[in-house]
Amino acid sequence: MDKLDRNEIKRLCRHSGLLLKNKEVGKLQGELQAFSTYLKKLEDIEISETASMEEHYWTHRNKSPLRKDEVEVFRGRRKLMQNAPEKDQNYIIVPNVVK
Amino acid sequence: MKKDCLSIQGIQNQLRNREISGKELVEETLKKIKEQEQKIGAFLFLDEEEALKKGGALDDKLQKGGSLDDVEGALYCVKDNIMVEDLPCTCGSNMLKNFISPYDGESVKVLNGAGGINLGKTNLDEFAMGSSTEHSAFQVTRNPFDNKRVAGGSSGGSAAAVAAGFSHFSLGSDTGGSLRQPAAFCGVLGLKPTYGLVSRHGLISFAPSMDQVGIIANNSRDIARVLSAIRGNASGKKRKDSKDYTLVRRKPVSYSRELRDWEENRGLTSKKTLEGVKIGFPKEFFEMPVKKEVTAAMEFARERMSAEGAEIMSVSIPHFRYGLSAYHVLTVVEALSNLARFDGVAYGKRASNYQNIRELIEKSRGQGFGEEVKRRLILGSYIMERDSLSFQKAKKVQNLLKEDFRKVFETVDLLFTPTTNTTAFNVGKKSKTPLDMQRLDEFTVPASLTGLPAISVPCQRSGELPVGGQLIGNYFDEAALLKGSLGLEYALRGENPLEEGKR
Repeated sequence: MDKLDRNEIKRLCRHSGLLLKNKEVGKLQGELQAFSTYLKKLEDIEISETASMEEHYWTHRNKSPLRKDEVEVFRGRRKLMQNAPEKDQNYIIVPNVVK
Repeated sequence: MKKDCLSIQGIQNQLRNREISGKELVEETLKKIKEQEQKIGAFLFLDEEEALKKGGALDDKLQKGGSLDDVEGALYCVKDNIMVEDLPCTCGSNMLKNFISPYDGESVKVLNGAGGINLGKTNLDEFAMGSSTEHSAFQVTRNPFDNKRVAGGSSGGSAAAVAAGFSHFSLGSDTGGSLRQPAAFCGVLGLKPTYGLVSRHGLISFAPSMDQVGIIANNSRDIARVLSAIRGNASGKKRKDSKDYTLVRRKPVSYSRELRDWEENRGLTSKKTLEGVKIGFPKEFFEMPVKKEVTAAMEFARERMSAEGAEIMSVSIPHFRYGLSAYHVLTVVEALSNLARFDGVAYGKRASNYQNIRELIEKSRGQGFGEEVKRRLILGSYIMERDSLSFQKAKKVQNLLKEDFRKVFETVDLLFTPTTNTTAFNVGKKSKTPLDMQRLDEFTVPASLTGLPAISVPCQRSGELPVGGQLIGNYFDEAALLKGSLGLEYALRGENPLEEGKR
């Protein structure tokens, strides 16, 4: 595992959609490095670059079921909306994303 | 609840004989919970009103001469990452602290329809990431055997509730051992079914290629009853109408009837309880360092299984040593994907101070998630960006393990291993060392990676701290697995572990 400095961790946080305090970033550095023990163990496993899909894992070989192409009325809107952090009638209020 | 009445059969006998009414059962249980819950911390939410209502409805039915189905009248509780309509579903996280479930998960819907009485939601490690239930945002769950010790995790609340006698059974979830390990720590049984047998609808995902809804109870017969109710197709829906497309269509099975027929046959033929059963002990599992109490319990179990006629065989799972690494690589990536939905926009915690949508998302997630969750998300990000080869190798390990187990099941009926490498440890002992904590799952992850069914059964001698022994079965052969676990219960504790379990 590559050595992770504070800037790298902050970058990975961004990619994970997380904003961490500096203290949290410092604490994470050591903990993340420890994960390399798992990655080292997997080094023994060989992977062929030309491996076919057959090599990939399937728990059970089932075809995904298809449902009928018909409209199903959803009746749970009120219960979903009760969880909205900020709302105005049936609309969820969010910051402006269109400039 | 009467002191010895810990089985579903037992409580149903008492209800039929009017020794206790449904309402009294709920009232006495709620009283017991209020007296003891402060020391244990199993519940995040108690649904007293609804439970009392259902107790009353049960009495009405009995008064009219109605009979009781498999789980009717049984008290149960639900891990707080499974939806129960109109109840909170927090996943043990500040991210979902005020979230109210808009619907019932499939297992809950079926159990409520079958007459089960839900008491409430139980504590867990945040988003099912943990092995001790110390990583909940709200409280630590302690072991009913010794309150200074952990209950295990992540389904610690569910295991503790059954072990403390608060409920007859509970629903939990198992991704890498999250149900079997707390069952082992708390001295109860915990079943992870075959992946695809039980609908995951309503279970909030952590790593959905391995997540399974499972059952914790005091004995194999109770697990059989509950499994018969919640297994796929139980609601009669075709698979295409099921809201879990990974559910596998299987013929309905009554596991209770399978166990009854097996017991009758054993009684008629005077066979020993495990006669003719080939049980494999995979050598790689037993080469790992474990606490001496675990070694002692495994030797006790082996000796008792042999005495009851089991043919013990040494087998090999050569790729066992890669299992824990593969599990952690795969789950951090799946977690990154599955927890992306928690962004503070449509539901969940929203930060109070933000300038734009990006800040809203990053601050909400930064404040809503705990340390362990954040650590795993960042690791997932690292793997996706910088080390996708490790991810491919982890997927290959799944195939290699699957092949190892396939070969072994050509010669044995079941496998037996320790559930975990230690007994319940003191609160705070391992919470600061993630790698030590994660080693607790090394025996349970192979069944998770391959989707095989597995059950933890208490194996310690009487008076000792609980130690779990894990039986692993073949795909969709929960009937053989439950016969094995019932046989193991007989072998370890003599004639019928629970008097009320007798028909």
